[in-house]
This record gives sequence, structure tokens and C-alpha cells, in this order.
Amino acid sequence: MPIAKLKNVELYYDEFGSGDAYFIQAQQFTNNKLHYTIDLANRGFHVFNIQIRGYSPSTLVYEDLGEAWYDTWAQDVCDFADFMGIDRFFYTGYSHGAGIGWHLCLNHPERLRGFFPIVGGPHKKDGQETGSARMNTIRAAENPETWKPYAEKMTAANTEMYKRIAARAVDEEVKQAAMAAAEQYRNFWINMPKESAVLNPRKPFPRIRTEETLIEALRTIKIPTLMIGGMKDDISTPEDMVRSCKAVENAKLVLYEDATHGSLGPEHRLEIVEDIMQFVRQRNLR
Amino acid sequence: MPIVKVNGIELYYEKYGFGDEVVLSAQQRFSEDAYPVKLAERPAEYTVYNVTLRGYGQSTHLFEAPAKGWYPTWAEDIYAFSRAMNLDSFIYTGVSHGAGVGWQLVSDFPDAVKAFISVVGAPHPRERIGGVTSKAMQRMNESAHKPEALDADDFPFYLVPTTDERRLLRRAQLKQEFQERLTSFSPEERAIHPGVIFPEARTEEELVAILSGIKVPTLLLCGMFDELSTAETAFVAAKAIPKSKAVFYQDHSHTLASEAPERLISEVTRFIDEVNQGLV
Repeated sequence: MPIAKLKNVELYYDEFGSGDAYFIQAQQFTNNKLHYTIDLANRGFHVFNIQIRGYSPSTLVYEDLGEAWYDTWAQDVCDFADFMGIDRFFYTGYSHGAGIGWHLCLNHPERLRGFFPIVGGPHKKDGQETGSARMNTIRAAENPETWKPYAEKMTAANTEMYKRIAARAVDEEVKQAAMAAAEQYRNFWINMPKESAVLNPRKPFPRIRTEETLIEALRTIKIPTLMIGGMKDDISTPEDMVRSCKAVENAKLVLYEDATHGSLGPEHRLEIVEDIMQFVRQRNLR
Repeated sequence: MPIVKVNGIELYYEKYGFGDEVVLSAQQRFSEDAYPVKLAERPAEYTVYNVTLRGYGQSTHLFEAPAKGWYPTWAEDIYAFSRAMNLDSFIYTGVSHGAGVGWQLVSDFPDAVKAFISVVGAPHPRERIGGVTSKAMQRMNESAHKPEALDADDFPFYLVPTTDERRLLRRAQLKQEFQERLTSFSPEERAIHPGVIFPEARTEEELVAILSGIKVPTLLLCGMFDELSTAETAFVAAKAIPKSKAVFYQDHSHTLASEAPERLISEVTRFIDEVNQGLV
């Protein structure tokens, strides 16, 4: 099992592709069967998908880091890059993984060649410290009797989605990969330790309290940024992404009408890859 | 001179390229290097017809507004043009008011349109019904009877600050073309006031209802700092149209097509490829 032993944490990772055009992604979980980052590796990138601290098989965390989760995860990404001998890299993240990317942009901009937040807000500063989806998970995890049904319900729609993807696929390998991806996702959720499930990172930029201050922070970002989102996303809303795109210099935003928070990545996998390749090419980033 | 007679009037057009994919675009006037022209070049290599709308240029001029309204009439003209050219279906793209023709086309003649690409041209906010659609258009209309209302030096579009030399050069060309066009417009051309797209929709809810019925694959290309066809109006449209895709550029405004045609070509060719693959 590939584990990077850093100075104060161990991080599980998957590696795809080769070469020195590095793409890093950090998430609580990423399947290693059918994912846009795997396709990016097939298009010439050297991809590392990191499992962030707090989620097995990376080091579990038994304390609440309060407002420091995203900063810690962003620092872990940089420490991981150092461990691998990587100076600068492209970063992509999905939902909370994109949140880590936003913190990389502010805390470690010198490491980034480009940033690709997928369904990545950041969330609106509406006075709610933690998003409602995350709070549902935390509440369900407080009791083992509520966790199993919650995790089953959480993953059922995902499994159905992958079944549809498999049914549509012409390639037998894609069919099998889709079903394997669904099974991995289900296993991750069903078997998630309580200390992971109750982890509360708050929203990205937890020390920023207002939309105005958030926009000011986003305006300082100079990293080439492509945002991709779904119009039917009720967690990282398209309105949030429009706000962010308007603030980040030279940014580009692509919105797909038929995509939700969970469906965009799997259902628009190939379009996401093309969106990223096009952006890298047009901005001469490689 | 390439002219087609349709619907009792003459439409002037230019044809470019010989590819299998056929694109129609319609405007008041086209510059020689307008973005649709580049769709006939590599890598797209489409066949492109740029049609001058009735009322303008070398197409038939009108001295009063058509009874049906400008956009429905223009859409009928483009549909008739496609029949005259023996086109079963075609890709339509338009910039600003040219996109307005496209919205009417996909509403009135959906079976004829394979895909629609709207460039800085989402349907107007409903508060502009019966009023001023833009200050630029208002000054143009006033100048039909009062030439001094139009100041050719007054460029009516916000320009996003840039140091990109190629964009700055294109801006200078755009301003020059804009001035030349203004001074060459006849009084009847200046008097044309197309109004808003879908004026029958009196509220945003009614507009959304119309847009949500669009079945044609639709791509919206938008400048985030476009103050004429705003990002907010594009967002409303993109959210309403089933399976649409919208692309927003933070560093562009209403002059997107003139300043970044390469970006548009790249988006259009990708979108058409995805339509052909059944992804849209």
C-alpha cells in the first residue's frame, strides 16, 4: 500500500502516469478505478491522488483542529510534494478537496502552476460555520444505529449513477471500472471510523466571516484558475462559483446545467478532462 | 453580389469554407475577420454563411418595424435562408443581437437547428421590455433624426483592463470599425430598435418557462464583466435550458468575440464534437 511517511503524518496515495507535469489532488476519498484524474494521467500528466489526514488509511485524527483543518491539509499537500521531490504542480480538488486548493492558493501560491476546483465554491459566508451536508454526516455518525442507514442512503444514489454509466459505456473496461468505483465508494462510507465521520473542517476560509472579505481574499489570487460546476448543485452552488470566478483574476468558469454536486465528476468525467486540457493548452501552462 | 431572395426581401450573405458542418450567423454587419469567419479556417474548417440581417447593409432596408417584431422576423429570414440553401439543419451562432436571432430560431424552428452558440447575447432582463435595451442602441436610434446624438468617439462598451498586446491591437481595430460603421449607417438603419428577446415573457418566471422548453443543444459564451448582456442574465438562461453549457471568462466583457476569437473557436469545436458524440 503506497504511503508517504511525512514528518508528522502518514498519507495514503494513488499514483498514475509519469513525467514531470505533476497533478495533485487531495480528498477524503477518491476511487482509483474511474476518475477524471486517471484520464489526466492518460493525457500526459503525472497524477498523485492523496487521501487527506483524518481518513483511513492515512493517519486518523482524534482531536478537532478547529479552524485549522484546511490550512493543515494544504500544508500536507506541500509536504507530500516535498517528499516526492516535486517543486511546482497543478492542483485539482472536488468539493472539500477544492477547498484545500483555495487554501493552497492563498498560503502556498508559489507551489501552484494551475488550479482546477470542481464543484468548489467556496461556500457562501452566510453565518453558518459548517455546510448542511457535512452537518448531516456528523449528526448521523454520533450513533452507530443511525450511521449504517445514513451511509447506505448516501451511497445508494451514487451506486445507481455508476450503474447508469456502466450501462451506457461501450467499452467493457469502463463498465467494470464504473461498478468497481461504486463498490469502493460504498465500502469507504460504510466502514468509515466514527472519528473520521465526525470530523468538522468547517467551510473553507473559516476565519473569514463575510462575503465581502472572502471576495477580497479571492481577488488576491493570481493562479490560473478554471472552475467547473453544476447548475443543480445545492451544496457548492453555481451562484457561489460565479461570485468566485468574478473575483479571481483571469479565471474561467464552466457550468453544466444537468450536473449536481455528486454527479458532475462521474457523469461529466470526459468533459472535465477536455475542459482542463483546453485550459492548460490555451494558457500555455505546460 | 451574393444575394438570396426570401420572404419578399433580399438578404446579402458571404460564404466561407467547404466543410461538412454548416454554420449560419446573422448580424447587422460583419467585419472581415469576424469570429464566425474563423470557423471556416483550421482547425474547425466548417462551411460558414454570414448573413446580413434585413434592415442593414446590402440586405433590404425597411423604413418601419415589421409587424411581428424584429427578432421573429429575422429568425424567419434565417430559416428561409437555410431552406433556400437546401440545408436540412445547421449550427447557428451569433454575437449580441445576432445571438438574439438564435434564441428566436431555437424557439420557433428547433428542428432546423443542430446546435446553438450564443456569444454575449442572453435574453434581456425583463425590466428592459418596452424601454431602453442598451444606451448604445438608444443613442443609435436617436441619431436617426438627430445625428449629433451619436459621438463616434464614444465607445459604448466596458473594456476589461489588459496588457495583452494582441488584445490591445484588436481593441484598436474594433474601435476603428465601430466608428466607421456608425458614420456609414443610413437613417433607416439607425432607427432600428430590435427590442428585447421574447417580449411576450413579461416576468423572469415566464422567460425561464420559455427557455426551459428549448431542446436544441445550447452553449453560452459570456464575458463576466459584460454590462450589456450581463453574466447574471446568461446565468439565468443557462440554468433554465436543459443540458446547456455555459462558459464565463473573468477577463472579458461584451467585446469577447473580437478580443478572443481563438477561445470561442476552441469552445465551439469542442461543443460540436460533443454534440456529434451524443454527449449533449
